[in-house]
Amino acid sequence: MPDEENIVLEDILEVLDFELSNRDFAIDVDFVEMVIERPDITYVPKAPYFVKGVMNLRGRIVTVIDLSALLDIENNSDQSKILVLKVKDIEVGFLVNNVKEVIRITKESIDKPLNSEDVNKKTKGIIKYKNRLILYLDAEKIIEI
Amino acid sequence: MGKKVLIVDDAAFMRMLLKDIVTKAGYEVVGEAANGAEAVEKYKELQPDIVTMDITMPEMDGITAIKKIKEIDPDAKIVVCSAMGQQAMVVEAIQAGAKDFIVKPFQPPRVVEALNKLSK
Amino acid sequence: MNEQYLSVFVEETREYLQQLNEKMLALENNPEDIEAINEIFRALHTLKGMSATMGFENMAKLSHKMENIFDLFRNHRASVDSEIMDALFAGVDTLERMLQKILDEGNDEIDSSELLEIYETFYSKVSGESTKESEHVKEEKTSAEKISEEVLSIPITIEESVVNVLKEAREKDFNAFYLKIKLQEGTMLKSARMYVVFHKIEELGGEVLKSIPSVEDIENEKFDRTVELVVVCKISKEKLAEIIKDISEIAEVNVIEINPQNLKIDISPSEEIEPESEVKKTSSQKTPVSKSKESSQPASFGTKITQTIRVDIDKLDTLMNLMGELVISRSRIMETLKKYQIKEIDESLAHLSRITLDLQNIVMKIRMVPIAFVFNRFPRMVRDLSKKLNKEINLVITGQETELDRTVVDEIGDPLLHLLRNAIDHGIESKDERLAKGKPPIGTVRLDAHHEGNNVVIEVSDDGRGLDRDKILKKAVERGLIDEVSASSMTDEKVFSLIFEPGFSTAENVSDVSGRGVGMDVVKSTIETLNGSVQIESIKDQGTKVTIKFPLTLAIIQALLVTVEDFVYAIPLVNVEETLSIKDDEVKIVEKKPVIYIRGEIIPLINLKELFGLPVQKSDKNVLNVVIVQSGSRKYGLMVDGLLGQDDIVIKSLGKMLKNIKEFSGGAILGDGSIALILDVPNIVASL
Repeated sequence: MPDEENIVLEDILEVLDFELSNRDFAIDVDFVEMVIERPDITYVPKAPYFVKGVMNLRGRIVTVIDLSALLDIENNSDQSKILVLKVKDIEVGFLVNNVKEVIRITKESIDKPLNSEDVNKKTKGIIKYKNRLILYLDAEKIIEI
Repeated sequence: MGKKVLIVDDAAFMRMLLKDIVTKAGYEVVGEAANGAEAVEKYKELQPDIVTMDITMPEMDGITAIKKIKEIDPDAKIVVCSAMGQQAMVVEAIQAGAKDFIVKPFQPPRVVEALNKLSK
Repeated sequence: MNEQYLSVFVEETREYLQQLNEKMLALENNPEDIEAINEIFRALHTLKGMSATMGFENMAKLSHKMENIFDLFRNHRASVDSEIMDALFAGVDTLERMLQKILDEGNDEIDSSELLEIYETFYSKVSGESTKESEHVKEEKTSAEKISEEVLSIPITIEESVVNVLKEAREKDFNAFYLKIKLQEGTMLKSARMYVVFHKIEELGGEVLKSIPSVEDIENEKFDRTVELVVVCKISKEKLAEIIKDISEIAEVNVIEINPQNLKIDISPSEEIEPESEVKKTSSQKTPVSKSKESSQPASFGTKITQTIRVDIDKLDTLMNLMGELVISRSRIMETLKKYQIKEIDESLAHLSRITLDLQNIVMKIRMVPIAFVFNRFPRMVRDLSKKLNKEINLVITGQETELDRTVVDEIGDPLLHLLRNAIDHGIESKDERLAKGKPPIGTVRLDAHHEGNNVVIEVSDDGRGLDRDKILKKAVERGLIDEVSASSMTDEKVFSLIFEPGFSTAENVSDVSGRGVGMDVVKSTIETLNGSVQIESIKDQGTKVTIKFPLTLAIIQALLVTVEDFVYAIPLVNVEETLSIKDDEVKIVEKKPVIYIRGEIIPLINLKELFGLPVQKSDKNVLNVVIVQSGSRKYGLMVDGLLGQDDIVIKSLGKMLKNIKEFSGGAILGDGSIALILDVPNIVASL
């Protein structure tokens, strides 16, 4: 652990920790608008492969992203929650299994991500937190895809 | 004897309204025209002192009519009648030689003010 | 004290304080933010009035003092810097504490030494000196070197470049004047009025060297009622004042002669010069100067009666969304109640329908803008083009005040431009040709907009040579758009509509004006994307008329709801020709593609499942539901699973991430909360 006194405020990040297909992920808490139970999702033909469809969020039509398809990981269990993000004025939902907690991390605890270039495009790195490895997603890059 | 006024507007209602205001102010309405082409003809025929000219009209619009009248009589005194939001058109009309403008819906004092200023 | 008033007062005061904080932050970030200054000024002014009414004198007094500071900002008599902002923020904090005191103890009395301190800071900051007994803002020398002390009586700063022009003009016997012109209250078309002033000055052989606000701002009506000018002309001061004063709707004119040699100012005794003079802020001046003998009475400023308000476009969209929700809820209630047939409720239901309809109309009207926004750019284009083609054209524009949905106004420019170009390039004949035909040598092109029922109609017409039926048919046959047999029996209307087919161009010589066959088909598809329709009429040697129709609004449309698999899709009713249920053996295969024959017409079938990339199974049903849609002159049959009927739907965007899917123009939320994707028929057809 770094010396507490040396930690500057800007070096502390708050991220939301969530679970998808038994893996841990995190996303900047600033982007998170709300977490909702999965509503009916309307299939959108011709949409990109990682788009699950659209949902009605209080009268707004919001795109729902199938993160497991996007990150190319197996989708083995019930994704019953939707993490609603607002990134650069774009509202988007991420299908996830479970949302855990907001954790505070220091910038030093983020490692540059894996060797996979594809994953690199969507992540900011890997967070080491209490003996867990959490993939830190880059929401801004994901919505640009 | 009041000055002679020619009223140009495609709407009979507007002509009636204007005629009323103008007459009450002591001017004489010598003629009316429902479009620009008619206005030019009537101008030649009646030689009015002042013309009130609507902008949007069928056949020939007001701005074209102002230009034509100015060709006939460079000293013609023309007041443009404009709707709100026709700023650009009014500017064009002034460029074409109109002396003043009044804005619909007409406020009688403004109409009279414009006429009085022109008849000086 | 009336409790009821108090709660409203507290509530509103909170809102104003919040607003003050936000706007002051904005102002600190951008000290030039006039909007923010004005808003703060208004908020403080309201606060002052509210608190005085409630008898909270301290609060009223503090608001008043702060308001005065912002009045100085507004008039460029003090500049925004961080010190004064600190003091003002402290003022807001104190106002907040007063409000808390009012809540807790019912009075706004706080430690007066604290208040005094704030006031002192205000004066010292604004006057650039320490505390003064009076509130009067102290005069201070400007550091702008080029202007001598006397020049300060010209209430504006004159740049060196202007001074040089003034000197030159002087040598040519021109006089230089500073003019302050104030328009009458309630003057309409203020820009045009100021234009009259400028025009008059030019008529007198004069020239406007400088204006505050800038000419651009004046053109955009970004000024209140006062304009300051530096003018050179040959006539006398008195004469100039008289002539300007004689222009209608001018309330006041002040003229000061400028002597550019030493820039001495001769203040006319005959004209009323307002006691306070304003110095426009320049970067070299920290605290602008004021000679005011009395701090101004802001009350006379703050209460301006306005008949229009600016609304944030986001709010308008939200309103439209809510309106949509309401329409949806209404449909839902109607749907549910239909099952029960309760007579008593019919009347109130009808009433609800009427109200919703009225509301819908009003909301739509708010979204409307005059088509003049588009039309205004055409006269210039037509002039240039007619010069280039050596054709004299009289462009007659009518109905530019006609309003239509802003979305249409944004999109309709290019198609209209194309139609006008076509009319001038292909429609209007050359002068010689016209004379030979016995027509007036000047060609007329008309552009008209008007309302027709629930539609806005835009017509582009010319008195040119008209469309050539034979030539169009010949080309259409060549291109394989039609066969020769059907050619002869086609009505003119049908023949003319062929020119909207992709790749069709009737110009014998492709010119750089009308382009190469791109055009009419794009015009048509753009219009259809906006839910509009287009028609063309033409008579040989008399001219051509293109008529475009748009629904008054785009946000709420009528649609046919259909199902494909488990999902509901909406097809805009403007695209729907008819719906059919056919037996599967009526489907024929022509060139390996399924078609049906209806009243002698061959209509290709599109299986939506296939189009959407869904698995297609051989259905065991032998009845097919087909929706015949039309786009351009082409008809297609869309095969769907079920027909649900028609409904008013509110078009919503699918969002940025899905905007590239061309099959859908948006989505709609249905009565049960589910989403129906809206088919973009013109786009689907175009991509086949």
